[in-house]
Parts: sequence; C-alpha cells; structure tokens
Amino acid sequence: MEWCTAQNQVIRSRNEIPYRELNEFQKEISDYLDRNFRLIAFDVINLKENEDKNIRNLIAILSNDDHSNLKVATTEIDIREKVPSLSLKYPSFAIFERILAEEHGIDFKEHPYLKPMRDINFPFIYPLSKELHQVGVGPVHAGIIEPGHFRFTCEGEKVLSLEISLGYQKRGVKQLLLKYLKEKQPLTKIFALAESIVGDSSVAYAHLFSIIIESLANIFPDKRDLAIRGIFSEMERIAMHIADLSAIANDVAYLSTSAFLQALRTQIINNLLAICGSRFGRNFFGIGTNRLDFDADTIENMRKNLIDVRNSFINICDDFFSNAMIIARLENTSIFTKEYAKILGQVGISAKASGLPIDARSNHPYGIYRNFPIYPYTLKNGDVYSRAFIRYIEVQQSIKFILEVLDYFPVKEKNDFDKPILKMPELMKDSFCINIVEGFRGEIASFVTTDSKKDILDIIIVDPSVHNWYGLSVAMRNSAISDFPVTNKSFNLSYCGNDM
Amino acid sequence: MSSLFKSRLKHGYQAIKSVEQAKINERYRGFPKILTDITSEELMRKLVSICPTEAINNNPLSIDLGKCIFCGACEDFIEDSPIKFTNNHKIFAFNREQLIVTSEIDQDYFKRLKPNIEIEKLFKRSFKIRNVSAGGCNGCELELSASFNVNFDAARFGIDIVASPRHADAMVITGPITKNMQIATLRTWEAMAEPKVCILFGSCAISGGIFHQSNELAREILSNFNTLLYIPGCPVHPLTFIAAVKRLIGWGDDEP
Ligand code: SF4
Ligand code: SF4
Repeated sequence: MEWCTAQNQVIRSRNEIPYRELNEFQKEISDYLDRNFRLIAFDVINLKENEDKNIRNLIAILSNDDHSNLKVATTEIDIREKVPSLSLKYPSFAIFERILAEEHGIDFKEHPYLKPMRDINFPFIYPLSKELHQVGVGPVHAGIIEPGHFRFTCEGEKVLSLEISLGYQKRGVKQLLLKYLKEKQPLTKIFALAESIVGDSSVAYAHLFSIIIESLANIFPDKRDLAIRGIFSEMERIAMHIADLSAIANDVAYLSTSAFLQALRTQIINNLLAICGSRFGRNFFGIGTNRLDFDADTIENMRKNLIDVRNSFINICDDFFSNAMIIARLENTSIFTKEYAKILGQVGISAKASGLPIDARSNHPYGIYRNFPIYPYTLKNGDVYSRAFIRYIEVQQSIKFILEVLDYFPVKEKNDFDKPILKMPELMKDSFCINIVEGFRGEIASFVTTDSKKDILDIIIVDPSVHNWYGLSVAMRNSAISDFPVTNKSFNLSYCGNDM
Repeated sequence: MSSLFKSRLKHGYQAIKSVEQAKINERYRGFPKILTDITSEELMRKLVSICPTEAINNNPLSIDLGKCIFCGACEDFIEDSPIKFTNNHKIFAFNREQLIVTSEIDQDYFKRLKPNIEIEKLFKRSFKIRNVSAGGCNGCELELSASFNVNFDAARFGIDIVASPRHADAMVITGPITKNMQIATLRTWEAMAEPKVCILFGSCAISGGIFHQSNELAREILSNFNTLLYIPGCPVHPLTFIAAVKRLIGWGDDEP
C-alpha cells in the first residue's frame, strides 16, 4: 500500500496520514528503504487530542531525493509491549529508537544497544581484553566548544571504537518551544527561541520557523522577501564553512590559512551585522516579511564584499588544497564510505563528501530555491580532505547564488505586509506539514500538526547532527587517535542540536 | 606558493588597532537608552508583554541587561517606544544589580563602574581563562573564540585561553547551566587554584536568558562561584568582552 505523499512546505489534512498496523508499517518501511528512500524522521507524534496514556502514535517520514517526494504514515503502539527493532537491518533507525526508548520508555526488541541519548550517567562499553585501553575526553574540552564526552577504545594508537555520549546541552528547548507555540506567544519570542536551538545555524532555524508558520497559515510572502531569506541563509553557510576550514587548517597547524580565513569570516558576518544588527543574522526573520528590506547601498556593499571575499578565498584555498603536506595529512584520513553513509542515513557535508547528493535546496526546494536551486556536488572519497573540499566548493556556489539573486532581485510587488506580524496568525485546522531547510550542516527537518481548534498540536524537529554523530563514530574506526581533532572538525556537528 | 604570498599580502594587518576607539556598526544593538519613563499604562503593558525574557519592568521603566537578549522587539514593534538601542557596546558590570538600566542611566554609566581593586593587582597583564560551555547555543562560544582571532586579538592584553582549569585564573561560563552540566561546572571550579574568579558571559549565563523558563537548568550552583564580572549580550560581541575584561584586570582605557 502506498503511503501519503507529501512535499516540502505543502500543507495537508491530518486525516490523509495513513494508519498501518505495526507489522505492516515496518514492512512497508523496509520496502521503501529498499527502493531508494531514506529516513528523515522517526518519532512519536501527538496526532489525536486526549490520548490514552500508554498508547503512542509513531510516525515515519521517508524521502526519495531523486523525485522530491516525501512519504509519511503512522502506526500505534502500546508502550507496555515490546516493539521489534528496525535498527539491525536499517542502522539509520538506531538513533531514533534510542531517543524513543529514552523519552517514551518504548522497549525495542533486539536493538543492539539501547543506550539513552541524553543521559550522561549511563556506563560505557568496557573492553574485556587486556590489550586494549580507553581514552576519555570531555565533557569540558580544551578549547572553546560545547560539551560532550568521547570514549575511545584503542589498540595502541588505533581507535577500535568511539562511543559518543551527549546530553550535556539538554535544555528542554523543544518542550519550551511547543509551550510557546501553544500559548501563542509573540512571534518575536518564538523566533528568538528558535534561533537559539542551534546558535551557529540561527538563520537556518529562523528560515525553518518562518516557512513552518507560513505554510500552516497560508501566508505567501513576496518574492523579494524570499530572495533575501535565501541570501541570509547562504551568508550563514559561507561564514560557517569558512570557520570550519579555518579550524581544520588550525588543527593541522597550517596557521597562515587559519588566520586568513578567520579574517574572511569576520568580513562576511560583519556584513550581516551591517544589515540586521547581529553577526549571526538573528532578529531578522519574520512572518509575512522580514524585519528589514535591502536598500541600494546594502546590495552594492554586499556585492562588492562578496567579490572581494571570493578572490581572497580562492587564493587561500588554492594554496591550502594543493600543499603537499596538507594533502598528505588530510587525504585518506578517517575514511567514511558511501555504503556506510547510506545505511547510517547521513545528510549534509558528510553525505556529500561520501558521494550521496543530499541537499534540500534542490531535492526539496523551498522559498527562493524553487527558482534558484543549488545542486549538490559530491566527492567519492569520504575522507577529511573531501569533507574540507566540499566546503570549499559550497562557499563558491553560495557566493555565485547570492550574486545571481542580487542581479535578478525582484522589486516588491505585494504590499500585504510592510512589517512582520507579531501575533501568531490563524492556522489551518487538523493539518500537518513537513518543512525542510538546508542548514550549513545539512537538512533540518520538521513535522508539525495542528488540532481542531487551529492550535499547534505537536512538533518534531530533527537537526542534521542527530543523523551524523553516528557517522563520526564510524569514520573514526581504525583511524589513529591523533586524527580525531581534525576528523571532528571536518564533521563539525552540533551538540546543542542533538541534545535540544 | 605564489598564492600563499598573494594571500599574505592581501591579508595585511587585520587586528583592530585600538579596541577602545573601535565602534561597531550603528545597526548593532548595544546600550539601550530609555528616553522617558513617563509612559501610558497601555504602552507599558505592551512593552512588558512583548519581551521574550521578562527583561522589562515598570515603575519606573527599566531593562535588566542580564536578561535582555537584544532582540530589539521592544523598539521595532512598539509604536512610540521609549526605548532606543544605541551601538555603544561597552556594557558590563561587576555585580548583578548594576545591569539594570533606567531612564536615569546615561551612556557612560558602565565606564564609571569600578571593579574590585584586589583583582587588578593580582592579574594585570596576565589573565588565563577556561571556558565552560554549559548549555549555550554555541553563539556565545563562537564569539568568545572570535575574541582571540586575528581581528580582535585579546591576547595582546595578556588575556588568554588555557586548556586546563589548573592553569586558569578565571572560569568563563557560557550558556544557562543545564542540569547535566552541573557536576562538570563545579568540578572545573574546584580544579582551579586560588585566587580565581568567575565570569558570566551572555544573557544565558547571567539569567538563563531565552531559556529561563526551562526546567532542565541547575542555576543554583552559581552561588558557589566568586562571580566578579557580568557581560550581557546574546551573543556577547568580542569587543564587549575585551573591554569588560580589560576593566576587570586593571587596564582601564589603556592599550599596549
Ligand atoms: S530587546 Fe531586550 S528588553 Fe527589548 S524585547 Fe528584546 S529582550 Fe526584551
Ligand atoms: S546568550 Fe544567546 S548566544 Fe549566548 S548561549 Fe545564550 S542563547 Fe546562545
């Protein structure tokens, strides 16, 4: 039986989500996954009001990236009963089942390792062999980064397994957000919280929340506003990719490149500051329109700035990526193969560097990307070099995109909104909507339902890091422990996005 | 090789020459000036209800910069708002109460605040910092590390990041302090040798910020620390951080 087909940003009635018995549900998931679909989200969702305490609705969202369609279906489970695990056959489910086990007490039969995702006191796997030793790092790290614990089991210098224990950043931000949405708090407050879910992806999250609320309320902003949102998103990507490349250069002690790139990042984020007052592009997005428009000076300055950044950037990377020492250090370091990337459901940089063309800007285009899609480049090697090089390509793509959009820049036609609205608009009742945006780390997916009183019923948010932390563990296997810092930087995953 | 030289030439000298003279773009939201505290009930109610972090209080109208996340909603979305943000980034205080801004407070108020004189003697020109990220969104962490990059270069004032709490004079907390980071934060503090100070970086660390209503926080552990510097922002601008620490360790307005 076919599941309900959905598109990014398109609102549908909640009744259209097909219901399946658990065994059918799991069988159909496996059919889809064998037919080139991948898992986007698997979570408990509140679909009915006043539910029985022990009954949960499970929802799975799958994506076929070649045909831009998404499939959803739901099933019901009783948390007192054991549920067969899908993880052994489809490891991309492993993380989601661990989250469900932790948050809802669902017991997945035959799950290889139902370790809670955000419980910091859970014991680690301990090697029985006396030949092996363990190295523990964190939660407080030597530099200025978020907290997390890494437990390496090593044979000499070689890492046999890396167990990552997160949860230190858990602030209950999803619950808080749902509460604010239900209370219909001022939208500025909702955006401020959304921008702090993952503070280095503020623009991507603000973009996500603007399209969530606009699709549920049938609000269509002007083309020009959409264009500006796209430009902001790409500015964030440029800034963060440059920061990541700078960190990689720093970790291999190529300090000149690291310093040059730091200065370039400042140049980009100061441009955002000059537009909206925040170096991270915060407090700019709104519903209906953005808080500010671009004037002629803004456009001209941005154009000049980007051309300048592009010239410097290409020069810097030309030296960096062709330096024999750098190539020797980064190439074939922590290889993550396409097969692994695929079965682990990787997204974003680590998928693209391993040969999987997954990018919401062309697979599930939204906003201005419907007119100016950005097609992902892929590399085959899946090593640190590839993950760094993909960023180099993407920065250039983003600059090109912004310059093109600036050239085409539509004038504002509709004047429905001269200011973003402040009060939560009226939403469509009994609906659901899937929204996906591409942050600099990869796709940020969401699923929202509304109830019969036109209020938000439930929300699921999946940060790309939820999929990708597992990838880092696997990439580290059989690498030297001294490769960890640079491998970690090449993934650059979010701790707070995982912990929420 | 030639591209390396080209890049180096183009890079030139990037550090901001004088952090004291430096001005941030005027769009930046720094010190909020309260133009008048004579406002209607109606306006007051609107101001209080729009603020995401309960930073605005009435009678008299005041903004708690320890709570404010500088979203600008109270200025941009309220007609005839009595609040006007300026780009003055030098906002920091040496105790919590000093962060409350009323209509009587002028631009230079923060400059006049005096830090603890003992600290100045102890740490002048050498101040080593250990960051504990405790639930922050990574915004403050990025800005803290940007303070040490080629543009801001805090190290020229003897301010530096060290890898171990054993070597640190100060613990800089970013983020609202989650329950799960409670033990790690306490242990970091315990591992530091006396004399030591605690710095709260960003509105999350000072008050819980945008997450103040979360029930996953363990803010009570803050009472164990000798907190001597409060730096508001969401995130804190690197120039604010540098100016604040400079005052704390006795550089005042001086520069090398
Ligand atoms: S700028 Fe500060 S005081 Fe004003 S609404 Fe935002 S958080 Fe509240
Ligand atoms: S103060 Fe703002 S930027 Fe800093 S950690 Fe908190 S939410 Fe993030």
